[in-house]
Amino acid sequence: MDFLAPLFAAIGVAAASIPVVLHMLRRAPTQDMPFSVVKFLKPSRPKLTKRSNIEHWPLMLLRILALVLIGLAFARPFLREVIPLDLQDDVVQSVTILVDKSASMRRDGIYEKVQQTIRETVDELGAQDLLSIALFSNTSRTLLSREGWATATADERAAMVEGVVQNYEPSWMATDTGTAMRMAADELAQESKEWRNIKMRRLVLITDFQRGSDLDELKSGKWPANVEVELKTIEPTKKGNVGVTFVNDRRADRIRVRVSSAGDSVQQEFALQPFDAGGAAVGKQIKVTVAAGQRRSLILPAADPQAGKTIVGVELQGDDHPFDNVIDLPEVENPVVKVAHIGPAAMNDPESMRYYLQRVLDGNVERDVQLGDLVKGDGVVLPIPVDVNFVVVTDAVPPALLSSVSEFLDRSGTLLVAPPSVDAVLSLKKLLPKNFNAIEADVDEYAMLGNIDFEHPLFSTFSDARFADFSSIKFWQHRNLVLPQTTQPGVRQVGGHTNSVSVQPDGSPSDKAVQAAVDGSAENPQDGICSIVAKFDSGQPAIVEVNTGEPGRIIVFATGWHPTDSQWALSTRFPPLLTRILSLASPAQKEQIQQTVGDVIRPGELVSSDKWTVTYPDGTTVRWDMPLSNSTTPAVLLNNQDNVDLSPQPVTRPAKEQDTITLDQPGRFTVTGTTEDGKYSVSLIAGLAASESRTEMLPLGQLQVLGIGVESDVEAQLETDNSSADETTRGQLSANDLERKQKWWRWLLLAGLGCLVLESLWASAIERRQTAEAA
Amino acid sequence: MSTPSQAPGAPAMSFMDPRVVMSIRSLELRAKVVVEGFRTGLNKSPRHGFSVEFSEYRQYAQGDDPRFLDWKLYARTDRSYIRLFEDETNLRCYIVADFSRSMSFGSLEYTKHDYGRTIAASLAWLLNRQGDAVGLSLFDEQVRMVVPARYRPGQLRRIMVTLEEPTSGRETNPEHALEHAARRLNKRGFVVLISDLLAPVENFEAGLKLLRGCGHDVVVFQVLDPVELDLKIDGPKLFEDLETGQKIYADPNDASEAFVQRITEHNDAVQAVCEKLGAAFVRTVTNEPLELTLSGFLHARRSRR
Repeated sequence: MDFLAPLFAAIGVAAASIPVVLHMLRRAPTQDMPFSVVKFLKPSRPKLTKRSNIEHWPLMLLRILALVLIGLAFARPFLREVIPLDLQDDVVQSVTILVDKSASMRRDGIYEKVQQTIRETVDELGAQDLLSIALFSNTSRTLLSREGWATATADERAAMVEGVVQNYEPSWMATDTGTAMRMAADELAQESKEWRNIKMRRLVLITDFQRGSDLDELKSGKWPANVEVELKTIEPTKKGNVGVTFVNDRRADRIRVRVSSAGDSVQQEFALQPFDAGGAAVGKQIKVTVAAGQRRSLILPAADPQAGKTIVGVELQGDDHPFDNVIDLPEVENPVVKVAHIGPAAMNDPESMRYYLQRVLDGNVERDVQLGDLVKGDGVVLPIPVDVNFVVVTDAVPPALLSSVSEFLDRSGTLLVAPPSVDAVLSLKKLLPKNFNAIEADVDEYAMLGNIDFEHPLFSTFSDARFADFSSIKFWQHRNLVLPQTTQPGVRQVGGHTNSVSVQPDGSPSDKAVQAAVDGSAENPQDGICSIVAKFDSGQPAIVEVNTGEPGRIIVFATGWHPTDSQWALSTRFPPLLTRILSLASPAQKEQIQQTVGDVIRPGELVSSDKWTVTYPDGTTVRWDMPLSNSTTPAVLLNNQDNVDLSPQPVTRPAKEQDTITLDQPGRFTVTGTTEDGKYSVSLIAGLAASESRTEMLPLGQLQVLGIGVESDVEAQLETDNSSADETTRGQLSANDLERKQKWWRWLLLAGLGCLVLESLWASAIERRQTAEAA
Repeated sequence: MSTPSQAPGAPAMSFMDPRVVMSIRSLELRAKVVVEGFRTGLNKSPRHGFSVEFSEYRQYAQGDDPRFLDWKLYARTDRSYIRLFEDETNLRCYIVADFSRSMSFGSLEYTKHDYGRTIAASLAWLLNRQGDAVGLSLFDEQVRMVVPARYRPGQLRRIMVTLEEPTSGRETNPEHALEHAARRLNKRGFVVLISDLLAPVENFEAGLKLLRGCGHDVVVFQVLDPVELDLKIDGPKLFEDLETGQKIYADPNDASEAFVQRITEHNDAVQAVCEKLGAAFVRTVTNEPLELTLSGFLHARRSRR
């Protein structure tokens, strides 16, 4: 019989002598006695008597037996079992080498050690053993299969292993060690059924075992009992690491980054250096002090707009491991949005529309909006500045401004016309479609909005039933907008409804034209399309969007929002509507999406196009020019095709996902979609997973904590000794397996506890008897 | 009710066995039995004729307070007499009883506490029957309960109920109790201290000195258990002090000689202090008849006159 922990057996045997000694000693019996004058007593020395004869022999033997049995149980005994020799030739061990290739493996000194460890592990295998090698980061990929290994010759095997070693290159992905181990273990356990002579299944994990390794998958189920794990940790030449990551800030005009230091970092002083698109430094370095295991967030100072440089990234300096020290940043838009106003420059007149316009724009919390008047109080007229995308007209446009407005529309500007009179509409007649006209409406008491197209972008934010009630706004007066009518009844679909009609282009406000306007929108193929967004309860157009054929657009209200015309400015619906028009005119930001390396995207959905091109940070371009339905057609790779192919895609991928792209490196990806309207680009900024910066090593016992049988050095040594001492023990199961299988400790512990129970009963019986005799 | 058993060392007279007396549950009844037994045996007692009070006329002498002249007698006899003991019939007596934990020791069927409060109850009953004002004060390390000295209906009952209190406290300090009694007695009175007096003599001497200095008569009863005098216990024991919790392992065979010597020295010191300060001292052991204790009390009173 052998013991896994012989120390406990020795302790049990040594403890057996204690009852013998105690049974031979007898302390003078004492009895407590309350007394009133203890202070007058002189203490006596307690008397111990040594007896040459032992009383209660059976009791003493029971006590000795209990101690010995419990000691033996804790020593975890087992009996050696020998497997017949004739089976030895068939004994095969199946080994899977799982190699970490996550971004944290890019640290200095790891690459060479991984290659060396792979070679050493393979050299330990016998000729009959099976081998599989897989690399993993957030996904795993098998590079060398067992089937290939089993059928290869010795030379071929050496070449295969060397090929794997030479092709090993860390990626930029995060680490999902748990999933990779689970998949490899399941594969090993499954193979044991196919290869009946496999007696040992081993998973060799070569990894830096950093704290950012995701082991959660290992908690999800029971680890296969017949798969042992051998953990081979790789350490870099220098410990510690600091990484920088981008953090979303509530405000779009500032950049926040987080500097995280690993728990084993030594350095504390670092510097952040922003850089521009050319890689040149922008501004001064920012000193950062971060203690080991701590994180710190800070806002980068804005670049000087006068210098004309834009910050596109930031580099962390002072760290020994640069793999996570450079990140790309979203471009910060101009924080001030300029809006031009054509109308009376009465800033404090509550009867004017500008008064309410100013207050709505001032209340914008997302951006600072600057409202400027083009028509000064002294009659001076200014052209529309080039950095203005939104112009509001609240009075007749001076003729001198018309050319500037036209140029503004050519620049994709948005013109909002809120005419307080018919003249205001007619002043823009040159810019409006032919025969677009307006007459003063005859309003009976008041008018209300009766029909609103909530699928139009202007009103889409009000589409929820809670916000769709505009009936409380009363219009005291408005203009009837007479829309042009074409000879051909062109119909335009707006939001799935046929709410557009063609209007006769006779230029006169005929009933027929009005009726046509009531029915929907009008279209003039030569001059533009009019879409009625909202109508009064009388059926007259209230809001019309005019597409003049130029890139810009004109939104015409049939009334003003000042108190003379309506209660509109006092309504809670008014500020959101104007803000919505502003956001459509000046999009908040060039679309930039933050991603993490390893994310899989669908470029077609991002740009709403079947034809798209993805530009990688390193300049690689991938183009897709086939319809989505034809998903089996692969993307056309223009440059550096091999690089894309090395991305850690799953080994098998459904055909419907062929139109996806994996962001396999940090940096800025650009997705450009081509539609009938032109090209549309989306910028994706892929950052390294923050978990990769947590490079301090996990406790080596972490896997045992998760219930995984990791082969310890002691057991490995035990088996080595046994194999060298006696050839016949070659076929033995490991000591741990034998002990686990036989479980002698349970019976020994049970017997020991039984002895203790018997001893208690016996002792109490003796005491009762003595008490009775004394009485 | 009487039994022929006699306490060791007691005179060959018929007294009630203290075990029988102590077996009576009601303290009031127990006191009544003791006092009546004492009175019954009074005729046969060699101490016959003594009483707590008696009246006497003395011829007026120069210097006497003329308020105490008995004018009726003067009218009948034409002689001036003074009623000397009228004030003594209104004697104010305080019984100061020790209720510390050391009193809860007893090697017999009852403790010193039981014995002591029976003495207190008997004295209270006796004095109350004589028309004296009786008060009670219980103490351990400080004064715990006080029944002011009164002569009125219900006073005896209050005293009996108060005497039912259990023992308490971690030490014995008679000095506080005696000082307290001295403050309560605003004119000359009579104080009975019932305690085992096992505390240091200094504690008790200061209070006694104060009482005597105020002119009060003091009778000290030292109540002891027989074991506290001779340590006759079988086998070694782990003795635990009832007040301090101190534990000492001692074998009476070895320790009794030194113990007897120490306790004797202590008791002698207590008695010497009482005699020095003019206080009557009665040492009573709990196996002695209670009647002897009462007669000892009367003897002490008489000797103080």
